[in-house]
Amino acid sequence: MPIGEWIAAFFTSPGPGGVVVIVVIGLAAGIHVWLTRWILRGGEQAEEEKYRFK
Amino acid sequence: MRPAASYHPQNKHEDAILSPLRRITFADRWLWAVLLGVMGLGAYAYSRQWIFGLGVTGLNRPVYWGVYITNFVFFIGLAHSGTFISAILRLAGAEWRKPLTRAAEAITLFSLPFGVASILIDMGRPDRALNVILFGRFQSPLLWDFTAVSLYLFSSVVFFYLSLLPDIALCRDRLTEAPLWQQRMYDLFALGWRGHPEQFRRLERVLDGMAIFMTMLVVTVHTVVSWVFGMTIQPGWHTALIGPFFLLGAIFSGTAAVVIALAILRRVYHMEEVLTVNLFNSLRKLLIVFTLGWLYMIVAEHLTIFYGSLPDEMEVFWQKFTGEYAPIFWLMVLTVFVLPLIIFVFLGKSRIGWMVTASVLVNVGMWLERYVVIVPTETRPRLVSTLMEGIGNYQPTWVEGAITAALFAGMVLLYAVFTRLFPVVPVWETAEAVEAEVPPARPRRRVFGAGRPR
Repeated sequence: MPIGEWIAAFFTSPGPGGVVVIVVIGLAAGIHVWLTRWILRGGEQAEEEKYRFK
Repeated sequence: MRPAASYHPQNKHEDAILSPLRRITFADRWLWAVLLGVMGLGAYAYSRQWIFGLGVTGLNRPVYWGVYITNFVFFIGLAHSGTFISAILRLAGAEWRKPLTRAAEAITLFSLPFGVASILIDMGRPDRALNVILFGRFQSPLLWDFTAVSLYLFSSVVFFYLSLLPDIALCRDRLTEAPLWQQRMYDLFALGWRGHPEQFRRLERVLDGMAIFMTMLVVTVHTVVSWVFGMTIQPGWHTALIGPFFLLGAIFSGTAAVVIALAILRRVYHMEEVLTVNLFNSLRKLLIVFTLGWLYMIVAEHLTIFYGSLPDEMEVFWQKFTGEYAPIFWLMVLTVFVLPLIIFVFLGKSRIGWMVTASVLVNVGMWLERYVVIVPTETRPRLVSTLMEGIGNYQPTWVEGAITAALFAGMVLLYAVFTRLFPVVPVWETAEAVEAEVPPARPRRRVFGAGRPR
């Protein structure tokens, strides 16, 4: 299998670089959104327990 | 019933920090109007460039990069201030940084977009910026630059927003007399923050982790920006030192910008008890280190070139030292090293006025430094055949000057508006901070044999 050729073509052809840019930034965006939601979820379970019967 | 407001850590300076948010003064409106006017002039200048092309600037063969790229490097450098103070000093455990983290991060947030805009303005066809994504090649430092700067911009926004989150909730709960649009803005951006201890714990953990990531980004971004120059084989650019050179310069100019911003905030918003003189003294020590580090870099770079005496390199060398760019070069030396070092060491201790003077000189000098790095090399390219008769000079025009002024005005405007809408000192982070001065160490007693069992 011409894997070496594929890798060489990936690094020298126009186009794949842009894909990497989008993947990197998209991944960062996803991680940041997840972290923000995780922070905001902090203590939710404890509060649900505390106020369940009020 | 679930409580409506969230928990906020007690901070005795809360009123002083929130005071600027309670009203917008006549002076503010005047300032914003003036800044908008400068931006309008810049927009007109850009419209001339859009219609008539880059010929309205001083750019020509072989000087393809001039004031616009200088602005790009300068603004990206300014952006490193926030990350250095909020992320790197956070990792170092420097508690004194807490009152100034947000002011510094705001500089990052509002200078990065103008750095990116400088690139687009430099392009005669800004739509071709999309080609970096559509036809991006890994061999291109421009692709690395695009990726690094975009990632840095995005991460800086998130880092800034997360650290602002508890204070947005504070504004939502405290500023009930604010206009309805402002209250709705706080409500929207607070994302339902409740101030639960678990939320604070998670926030601290995420900020610690992001501080590590942002520190790596700081090193990466400005090194990659420098490689746009360094990866060419132009004399004066193609040096291994260019990465650390740019990085140290960025943190240097950024920290000086923080001093200027803090001094203005302290004076205008009467935050003498929050932004104490000790903060400026701490920044002063950092700036002394950066000044000397920068001097080391400049001497190492130019001494190496001079000793090697390669003909191509010496053409650029003499352009800077004795040639056409000598006045700018030596002015740069004066404003980045000589005067600031004298002021920092002998005059700056506990004197904010002198600190601001030196910091302004540093930033002016660093802009000139970027200009001196970029332009002289292009006037003496390695391929002499590209240096045709009568070409190899560069004179910026009013268009470039107006657009540069507009970029700075835009950054100042965004910063000024921000300080009237959000607390510029982190209320939640400084809540536990020890406000008292550090007590003097006990004097050592010259008692020999003290402590030995009798």
